[in-house]
Amino acid sequence: MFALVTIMQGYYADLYQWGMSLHHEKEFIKDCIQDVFLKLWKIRESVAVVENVKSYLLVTLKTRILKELSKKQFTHFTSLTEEYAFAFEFAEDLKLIDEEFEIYQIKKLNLALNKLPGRQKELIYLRFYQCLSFGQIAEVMAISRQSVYNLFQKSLNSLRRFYDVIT
Amino acid sequence: MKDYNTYTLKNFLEDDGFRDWVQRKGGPEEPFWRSFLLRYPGKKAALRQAERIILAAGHRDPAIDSREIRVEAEALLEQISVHEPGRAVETQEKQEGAHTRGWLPWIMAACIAAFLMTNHFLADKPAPPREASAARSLTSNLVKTRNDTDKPLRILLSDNSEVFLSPSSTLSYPSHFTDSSRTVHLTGEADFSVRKGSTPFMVYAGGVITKVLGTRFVVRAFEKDQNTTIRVRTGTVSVFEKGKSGPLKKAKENSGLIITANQAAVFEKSVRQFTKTLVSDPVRLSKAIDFESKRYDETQLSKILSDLEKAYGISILFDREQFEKCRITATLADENLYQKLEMLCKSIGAVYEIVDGQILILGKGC
Repeated sequence: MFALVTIMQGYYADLYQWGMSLHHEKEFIKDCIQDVFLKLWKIRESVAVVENVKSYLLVTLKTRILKELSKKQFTHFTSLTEEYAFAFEFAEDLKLIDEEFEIYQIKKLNLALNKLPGRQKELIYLRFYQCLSFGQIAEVMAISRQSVYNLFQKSLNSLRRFYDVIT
Repeated sequence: MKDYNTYTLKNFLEDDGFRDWVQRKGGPEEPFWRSFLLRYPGKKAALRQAERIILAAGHRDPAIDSREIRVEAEALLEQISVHEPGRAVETQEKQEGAHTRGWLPWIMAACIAAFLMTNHFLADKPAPPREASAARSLTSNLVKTRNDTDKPLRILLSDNSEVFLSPSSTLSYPSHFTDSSRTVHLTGEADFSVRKGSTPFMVYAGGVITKVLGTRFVVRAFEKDQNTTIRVRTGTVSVFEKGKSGPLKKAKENSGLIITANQAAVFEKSVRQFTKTLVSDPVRLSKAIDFESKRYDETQLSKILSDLEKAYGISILFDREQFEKCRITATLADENLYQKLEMLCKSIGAVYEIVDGQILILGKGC
């Protein structure tokens, strides 16, 4: 059981961040994370070998949050692919950049990224913030890998619209 | 095989290795990406743009601090114990009835053990703290790495030489060494393990050039320091002053020093002069003499000193005639070289000095 606690500690910040993007309510998200791990403990004997712990946890937490929300708000999320809000604010990483032109470019891109529609933003978030592969993103977003690639292409098109310099 | 010649912005962004490189996570593909633009100069615009997008989708400070996470971990442990009464009892016994706060050391201890296990079983390790990343900027083909963390940073050069860059230090090096030279520039401190190669490896630092073929050594050249020091761990290096006009003046090279294992060269920047000395923590180069179990019984001093010479690769000078009659009974197990010398000297009423990278024993004899 200590291994499980260790896993929780290792991934907590990422999970919390992810949960807060889906629903901005601190205690609610903390409870959901507890539930996810407690459930994992209960089913530990029957759980299949998980290939990627992180994407497994992200998708489990997301399912949990959406389920709890639908109970709470009397709305029904029939599946994970349905529309839900994804609110996350990208903060540009300028620690290592000292060139003014570069800073300007990155800030502009950051604004464009934050304007992306929900699903596209979620994809960019999973790709560059949670650092998942396309296969893992497909798992977390509950869509096919090809759909992920298509959505990614769409995101780049949106970015181009917001930000004309991208070629 | 990926065809990088046709790589577009999208391909870069879809490449896990590229993303990891931009985010400075290291990884096996790092050397490849470091020198990517040398091989595919036409891809510069797309690569830069992809890099910007990744940085623009960056990280903000952690939304939750480690104390809060610990509280959550404790809560999980409690929850589990409730569902598994047997386990809870077992844990409490070990804890001798401590209350909730006492869980903490338990979790911490378990975490260390569990981490060893999980790292084996999990495909994906928990990400290391991201703020501990080092700066890297690409200007032409020169890579500049600055270590802003508080731990040494490992850098693998293209010839497979390994460098541990100390905190607050910067190393500049070509992403790919050419056939004619292996040259790096350092400010601050770094520990080099240089692979043997056909061309000399040269470190420019603090007005000194250190030249080697393959060996381990540490260069310390912080701008604020008065001295530049080079400490050799194994092998031999030559050091010489960096010439005013050209970097490699033959005349200057001649005025340099040769230093061997456990020796150090100190370059005093104000007077531009080298001194040879010994490192502060000489390491044993040969384990042939087993000081741990060896006991010297009425042994001639010269015999013991020659053992030390062999073990540390440092020459020890003394007047053989004067010390001929000295006999020593001792074990030299735990001490470092200097403590060993001190002990020996004390027992024969002598002192030792470090002169020019050698040890000199002075005394009246026995």
